Amino acid sequence: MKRGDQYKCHLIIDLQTILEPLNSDDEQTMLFPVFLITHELAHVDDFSSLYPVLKAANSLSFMEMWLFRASQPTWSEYFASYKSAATLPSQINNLVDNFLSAVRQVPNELRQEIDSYRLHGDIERLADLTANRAGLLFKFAGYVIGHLAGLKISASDLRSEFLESIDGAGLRQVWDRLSNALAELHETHKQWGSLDVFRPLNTVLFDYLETVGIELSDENGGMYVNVPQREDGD
Amino acid sequence: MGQYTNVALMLPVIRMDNQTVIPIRVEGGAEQYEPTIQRLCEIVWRHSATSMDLSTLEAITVSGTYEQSVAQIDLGYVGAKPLSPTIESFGAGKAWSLT
Repeated sequence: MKRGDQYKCHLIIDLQTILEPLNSDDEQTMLFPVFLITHELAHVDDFSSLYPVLKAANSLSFMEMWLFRASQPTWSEYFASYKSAATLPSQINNLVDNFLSAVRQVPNELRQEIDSYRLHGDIERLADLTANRAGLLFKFAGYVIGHLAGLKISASDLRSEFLESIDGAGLRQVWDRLSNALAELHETHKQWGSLDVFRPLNTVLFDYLETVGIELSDENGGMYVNVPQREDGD
Repeated sequence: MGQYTNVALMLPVIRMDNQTVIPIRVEGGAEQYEPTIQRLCEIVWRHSATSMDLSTLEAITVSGTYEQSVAQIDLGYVGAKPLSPTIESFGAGKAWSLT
């Protein structure tokens, strides 16, 4: 919320969200409120770094800003998960489950959206849905990558199904590049000068969308979305 | 702190820099859990404040009527709520939405 020319954060917590776990007999469940509040406070910390950058002039094009809006939650959840991981290490299991669900579903959903686009022809609708679904896949990856980084372990320390699923979905390269881009952002977190720092992360999303059949390019101050016919019928 | 007109309770929690306080607003039926909430916040604070920049944090509200609290406060909040439909649709029944 705005106070004069400054923006402030107000953390709102649903009582039941913290009360039910606190009443649990399970120790891990009881720790969830600590994890949750720490995670949300980390978003406040991140906002303190991001806000000056959002206010500063940037050289990103319309397309790059579109990519930034789609991919920024990935960074945000990476950072919050990194900061809160130590308060509830076992939360990694839920985060992995969420991400693997997205790995199974999002590529199919994107394919279906492209099929639907062939009928309705509304490119803005396709672009919005693409940003939403691909952004979700990346965001869920951000949770996992951040939690792993916070615990100082790697994906190979997780159950073998994890990397096998990523490999099976053809997403290993995306996972590795995403991990590198987030680590790079993290290294410079308190020294960000402009939104340019998000370019490597945006590029990972740009390239991923190309692999699913959505090609973006800058055009006349806007963004051109090309959805070429593919040999497999999509 | 005078900016709130419907405050049930303010629990000042001292920041780790010992210079400022963050008000914790407890409302909408959450008042009876005030000691629990205060202890919880103090635990979190000890863990978090030493490694985070919370200079933009204005207040924390714990509410028994979450949606109403969100509606009362300007857009742009940082919130925490259980089980968004988006995550639920992925079948992760015990996951939580961390917005």
